[in-house]
Amino acid sequence: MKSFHGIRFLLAACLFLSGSEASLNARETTPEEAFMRGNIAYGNDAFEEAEAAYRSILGMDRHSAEVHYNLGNALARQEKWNEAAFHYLKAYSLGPNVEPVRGNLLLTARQLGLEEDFPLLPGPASLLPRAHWTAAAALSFWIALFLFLHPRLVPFRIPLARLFAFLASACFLIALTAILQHQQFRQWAIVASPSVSLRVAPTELSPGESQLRMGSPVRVLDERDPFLRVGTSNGNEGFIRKTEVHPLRGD
Amino acid sequence: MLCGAGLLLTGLALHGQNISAKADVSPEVVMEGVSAEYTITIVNSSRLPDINTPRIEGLDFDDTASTSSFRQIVNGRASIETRASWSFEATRTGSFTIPGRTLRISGEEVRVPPVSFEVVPMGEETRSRAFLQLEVTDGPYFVGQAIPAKLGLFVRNDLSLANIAFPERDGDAFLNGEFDNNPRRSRVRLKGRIYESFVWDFILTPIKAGPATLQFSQQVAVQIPVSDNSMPSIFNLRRSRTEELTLRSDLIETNVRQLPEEDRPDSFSDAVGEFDITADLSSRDLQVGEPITLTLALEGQGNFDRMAPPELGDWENWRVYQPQVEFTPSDEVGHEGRKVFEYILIPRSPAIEEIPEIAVSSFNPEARAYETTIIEAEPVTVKPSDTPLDSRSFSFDEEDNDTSGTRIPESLLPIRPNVGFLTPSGSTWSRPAFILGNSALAALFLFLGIWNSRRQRLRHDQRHARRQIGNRRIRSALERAREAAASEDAGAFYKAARPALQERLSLFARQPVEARTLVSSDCQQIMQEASLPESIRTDCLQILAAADACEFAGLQPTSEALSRQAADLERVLVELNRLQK
Repeated sequence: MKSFHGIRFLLAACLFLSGSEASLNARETTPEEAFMRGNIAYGNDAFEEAEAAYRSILGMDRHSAEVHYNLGNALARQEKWNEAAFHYLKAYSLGPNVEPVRGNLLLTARQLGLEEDFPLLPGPASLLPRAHWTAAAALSFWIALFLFLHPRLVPFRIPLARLFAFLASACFLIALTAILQHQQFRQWAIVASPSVSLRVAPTELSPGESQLRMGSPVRVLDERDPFLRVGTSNGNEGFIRKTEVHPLRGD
Repeated sequence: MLCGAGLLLTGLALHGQNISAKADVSPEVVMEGVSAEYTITIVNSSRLPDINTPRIEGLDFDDTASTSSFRQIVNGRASIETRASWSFEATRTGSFTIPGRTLRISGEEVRVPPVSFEVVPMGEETRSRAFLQLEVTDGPYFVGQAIPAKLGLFVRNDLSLANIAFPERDGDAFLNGEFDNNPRRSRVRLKGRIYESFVWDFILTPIKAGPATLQFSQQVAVQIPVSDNSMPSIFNLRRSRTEELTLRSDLIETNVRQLPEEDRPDSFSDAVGEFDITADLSSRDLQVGEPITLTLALEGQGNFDRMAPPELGDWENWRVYQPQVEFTPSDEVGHEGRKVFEYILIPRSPAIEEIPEIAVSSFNPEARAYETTIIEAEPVTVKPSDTPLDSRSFSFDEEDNDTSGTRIPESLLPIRPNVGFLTPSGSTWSRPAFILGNSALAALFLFLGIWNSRRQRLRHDQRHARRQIGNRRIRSALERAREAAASEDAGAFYKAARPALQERLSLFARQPVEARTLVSSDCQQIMQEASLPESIRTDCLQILAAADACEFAGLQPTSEALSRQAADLERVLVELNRLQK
């Protein structure tokens, strides 16, 4: 009986220790550490392990252009080109000014035989990520507002305030344009199924107008559950099932 | 009206007569390539049912029929004939029968009899009116070869052309260049007759190996003069009839050969003909990154429109662009001329010592063999670039010279070492930091706006400024008065009560006045002018009188009286404040 109690105690202690160790591990795995772990695995040619590490960061609801870019690399090394294309495109939308992202995105597009089809951000959106443009828009808005209204707000006059106010307004408009361009870019999605029929109508029985290749970029124009109305880069429009694409918008 | 009566009479007269049908071909002997007519005639009926166009091999019928109706009354006996006619042309000689058919007209079944006739070769007389002649060089022909050809339409001088269609090719083993609207026109004498000739020069290209036939056909309409013997020649009436003819050139039977697979050089780029090949380099002193031009020119006779640019292959340390192509023909059809391929080359390393050897091959149909021209390697010197490219990371594709500056790496670029700016998914707008930051700025702006507005008002509105200062003083004096009343210090109480009332009443004055200078009579006057209630006035004057008595006569009120006066003071001030608002 005594020995039975001893075993129970030992088991409980082991469970407690393993539980506390697991919780310690879970607590210690920060996105930065997962990223580092992914980089180390990538450097050792363990691309599947690297992919899992990068994906774990996305699982923590954290992302950055670098995370998607490295994940794209890990997938490309495994020749999962269409998935890599999605993550490069995602990385590009988060960091359009990062040169390697665009380079690898175009390389992947060439690998998929879709060089002409992949979209790129126009200027000014291509200069900065959307978050930066949003901050720039907010800042330029408040500066312009302050400069225009400062005689009513503070007991002193700012020289050339009106000129600077107009400049800030111009910055605000440029930032707003860039945000809209980013917003439009986020309408793109990547075909995730091997062969997708571009339907004429949003029904299962609708005839297919043409076939979309896996990895092809399409633009989501509208949503009619469970279908999406999409446009291709060569101007065709049609309906595909929601499950057949990875949209950039859906994180 | 007369016409209607005639129709009625004809209809009545026909009533009861049997409907019959007959068929004939005109002329009875049909010539190959000459238009003829097949007619079905329905007798004793004005109704014509739908009749399908006959389909017979060797006879080319027009799809639409022309219809007509003919009525007559002879010796009181009326008759009507309704006709349907189809034009057709025979494309071969021999005996033909157009089968009969049964038609249903007005409830009756009417039998159309079959028609048999002969198609004979075009007579010499007819043939001599117009003919088509194809001239091509002798074979053998090879697939892809450019064969210069001439097609001539000859029309006798005494006939005039009413219509002319473009020639058409029969035979799918060849392709021909387009026939234009302006053939060469001239007059020629052939077999003692003068002809108007229309000659098209064009290129024929065999596209299929094996036995093949080639023939061209052309539809023309000629006006043939008809002599009218019924009229005296003095009237000299010139009449003519239009005759449609389908002309065919002589059939050419040949065997198109495939280009030999054996000994076909790698550098063969579909050039078939006889060419002189030359190459020219724009510069031999080069610099890394500086583009130069390599010009390859093929001059001679051949299929210039079908040849592809010669492939230069993979040149190490060179970047080679697709060439610009320019063709300058020496003849009208483009069989002879000079085709130039201009390649842009960019050296990418100072280690380059020569332009590599270039081989250009073509197939000579005369010699029936491939010919290869070797352009020897050309020594060049390449200096390092002034602005070196990062050629280690990037190589450039053909598309790289566009304005977008898009660069495609040769292989995957390395991963990023830093995690970057990690953010949660979702829009920036919805992030708490963004909302808080902007809300704080909005609140700051609001505060500044209100503060500055108050400040401005105090500066510009004297009355408001006075009121603000007065209120502040009143609050201070009232506080002192309360403390004095609580400590039963009558002197201190009245010392505070008087200025409080003076300040409050001064705000009722029409002109700005200094509160401290107001005596009791001034206060009474202000109250009268401001039409203040009697009770207020009385209370105010009592407090002021008590203050005067205390200050100047040294009268000390009892503690009850003092506390009552303190209560009155507060009430009066509150009332005055209310009245002022």
